[in-house]
Amino acid sequence: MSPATSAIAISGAGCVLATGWGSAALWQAAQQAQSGISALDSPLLHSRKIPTYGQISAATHQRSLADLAPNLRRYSTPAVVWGVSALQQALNEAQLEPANSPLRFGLYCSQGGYTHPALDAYHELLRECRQAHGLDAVQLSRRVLRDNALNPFLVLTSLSNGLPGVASLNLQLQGECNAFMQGVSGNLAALRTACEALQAGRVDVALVLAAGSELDPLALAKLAHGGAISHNGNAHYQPFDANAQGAIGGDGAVALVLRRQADLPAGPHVTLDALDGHADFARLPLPQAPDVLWCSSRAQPNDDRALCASLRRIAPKQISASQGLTGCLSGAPSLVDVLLARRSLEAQCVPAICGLEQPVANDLPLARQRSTPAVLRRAAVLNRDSNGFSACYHLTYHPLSA
Amino acid sequence: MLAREVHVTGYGLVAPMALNAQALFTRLCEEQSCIRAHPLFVELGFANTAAGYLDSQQWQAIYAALEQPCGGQPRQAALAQYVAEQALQHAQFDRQSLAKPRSGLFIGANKYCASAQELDVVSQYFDAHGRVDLDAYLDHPSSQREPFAWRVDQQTQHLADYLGVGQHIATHADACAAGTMAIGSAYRAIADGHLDIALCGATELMANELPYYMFSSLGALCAKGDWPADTQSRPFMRDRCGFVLSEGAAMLVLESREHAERRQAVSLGRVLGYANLCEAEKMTSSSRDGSKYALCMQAALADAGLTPGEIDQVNLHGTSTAVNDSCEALALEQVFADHLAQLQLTANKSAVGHSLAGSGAIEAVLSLQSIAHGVQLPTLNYHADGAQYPHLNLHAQVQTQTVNTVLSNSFGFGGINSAIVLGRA
Repeated sequence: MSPATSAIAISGAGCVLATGWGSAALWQAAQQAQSGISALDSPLLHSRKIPTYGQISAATHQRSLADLAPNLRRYSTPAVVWGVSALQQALNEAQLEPANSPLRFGLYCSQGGYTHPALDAYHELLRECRQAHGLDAVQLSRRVLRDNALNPFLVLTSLSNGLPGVASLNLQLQGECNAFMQGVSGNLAALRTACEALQAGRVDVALVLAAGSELDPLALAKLAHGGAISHNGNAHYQPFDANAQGAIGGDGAVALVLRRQADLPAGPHVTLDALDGHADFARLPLPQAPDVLWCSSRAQPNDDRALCASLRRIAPKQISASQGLTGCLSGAPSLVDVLLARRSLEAQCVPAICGLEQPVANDLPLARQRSTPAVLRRAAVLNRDSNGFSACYHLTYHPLSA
Repeated sequence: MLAREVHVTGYGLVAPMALNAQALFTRLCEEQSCIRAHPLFVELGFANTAAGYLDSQQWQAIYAALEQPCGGQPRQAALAQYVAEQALQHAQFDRQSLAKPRSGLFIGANKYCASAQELDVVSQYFDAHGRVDLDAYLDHPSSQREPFAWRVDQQTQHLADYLGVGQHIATHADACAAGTMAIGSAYRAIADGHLDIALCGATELMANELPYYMFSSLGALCAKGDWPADTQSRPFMRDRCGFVLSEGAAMLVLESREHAERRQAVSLGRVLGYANLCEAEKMTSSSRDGSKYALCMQAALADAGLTPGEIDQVNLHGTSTAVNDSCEALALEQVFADHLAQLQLTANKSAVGHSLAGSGAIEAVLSLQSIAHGVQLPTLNYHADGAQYPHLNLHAQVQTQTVNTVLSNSFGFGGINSAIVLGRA
């Protein structure tokens, strides 16, 4: 556990997810247990085995584009566009403009992206260079190297730090910056580095941003065979449900603005108090008796039952989960839960687990059916990645803190 | 709290034609390049086949030497394990030494690419509308192979499992700056008192066709196929025209002074300072006047509490691209001014190639060796008569001189700059 030497508060948040544009849309979906997962609709692929996905709608994407400078769009994947928009939302809530602020900003990013390159970058070339015996690799090399048939900006849209690159340019942000990969470990590294930079006094504002998209045939196939998503025709994400058929993927971006609590005006604050991670879930320190636990679920009944055995030992007062709303996010799996934990503390309310009908464990307080008012002081977030990495976060609500 | 001293107590390295740090250092001292024609690029008919790459003999040696087989893991995980084992052995640690709460793992890496053949398999499932029949592809054996092989953090996860590192685990993905930023982040975590010990560095395996296509399409690679492979990267020369793609890995063991002293470890040097800054200038290049690179170097010096005159050597980013070298040369003038004439400079990428994330970690190890041996490594393919910046103190031959402090630069696409200051123990 990393005890904070000065409390770190979340002063802004934003997101672009399958539930729509903005954290208000996410919170509304959470309160109504209304899933953003929809029929998979892609110009790149079709599938009956993976029929649904936590996809960003065209309208949400268009709204996100409005936050990105036109001259940066050629460098930006959809995930980067969503990330930039989520960050702008978070800055708006925190009432900060980096370009006009005397404060020192740091940018800490985690990017998804399971496979590389995205197939659409080579889509036309592959079709063109395909012969009866298979791919003519020499023809492909000639088309690329002699005829310049490849998008010259592909290397930039493929960068593992494209997200902070475009986000910093969009905001004209100069300062400390880190890019991490990926999933749960990348989210933890970004949050941890941000908190340490604030505590060390190197920055006054830490912008934490995560984004990713896996809507690509290669990525979906690897995620399916790696056990991260189901490929059995399952259309519903049912966390902690005895009849669950597995996980469903999801795209999107989440941003948080972190400040030292002491630097903020008096008022209700939610602080991020401790961050833990481990490559082995069995050795991850877990919080005792949080008022609410946002816990990721793979929607595999046996796996969820095993997880519940661990949860019994820490006796959370209520348990909720976000994956039924958004799908399992490759880019921001932890940030979305930190955002929801903050909202539940601020609203003093625990949303029901979207998709849960028949709990795998009746003795655990898995939130069901409707959003429930509650007195919440301490929240926790618990995430497990498909490769085994796990992370846990502790948040505290300070109703009248200065 | 005062920052704690951070010492280097071990390192490991694999580079093209070198299976350890000493082999690479000796090779460079003997002015031998690691760049040659890549067999894959020859097979594919590239006009320019130059690259730094780990060959099959190296891979056999790597797998054969692993203390514990890493079956089922992708090759970047095997490479990471091999280099980590070297570094830990050098530091006189055993495999369990990092399995404690105040240890960390900071590994730089970029992306692991599918091959053209793998893309081809997918392309067999295009329907008449150009959409992939994913259900049919899911049944193809190649789609089922090594599902985690392309995860960028897979080598980090493997090392964390293998070494039992728990809390501080990070995969730095800051393009060409990732290796230096991984070391710098580990340094900060120890200096600030969060950790006592860290394994840090980078792995990169990008010397294959699809990364080549991307960098070539952008015009970043040397395209002079008629130049001998080992002469193509020409940092700070008038005729420089791009970098040579390479790969490799390097890792350092960092410890707080107290931790190193408690176990009577031999210090191989210190990390004295570090800076990482995004510059919001362009995605592919810095401010043409060099001011943004200069800002980063100055911040690293300030963090180290050193004046420019106290730096003996700069290990340059020196990619041999027109813009990068120009910006770096101008930045050196701004930072070092009158001291520039006495400042030793070296650019290792002309000999080793540009291993992207790996480069900063490899160059940090070479810098520590330069301090230990009192050597200014040669900048291969540099000649005073063709130099664009003849006032820079670069040499094509090895020079023997006392080196107490080195500033090592790594600048990345995406506008991320980093610099680290290394010093004698």
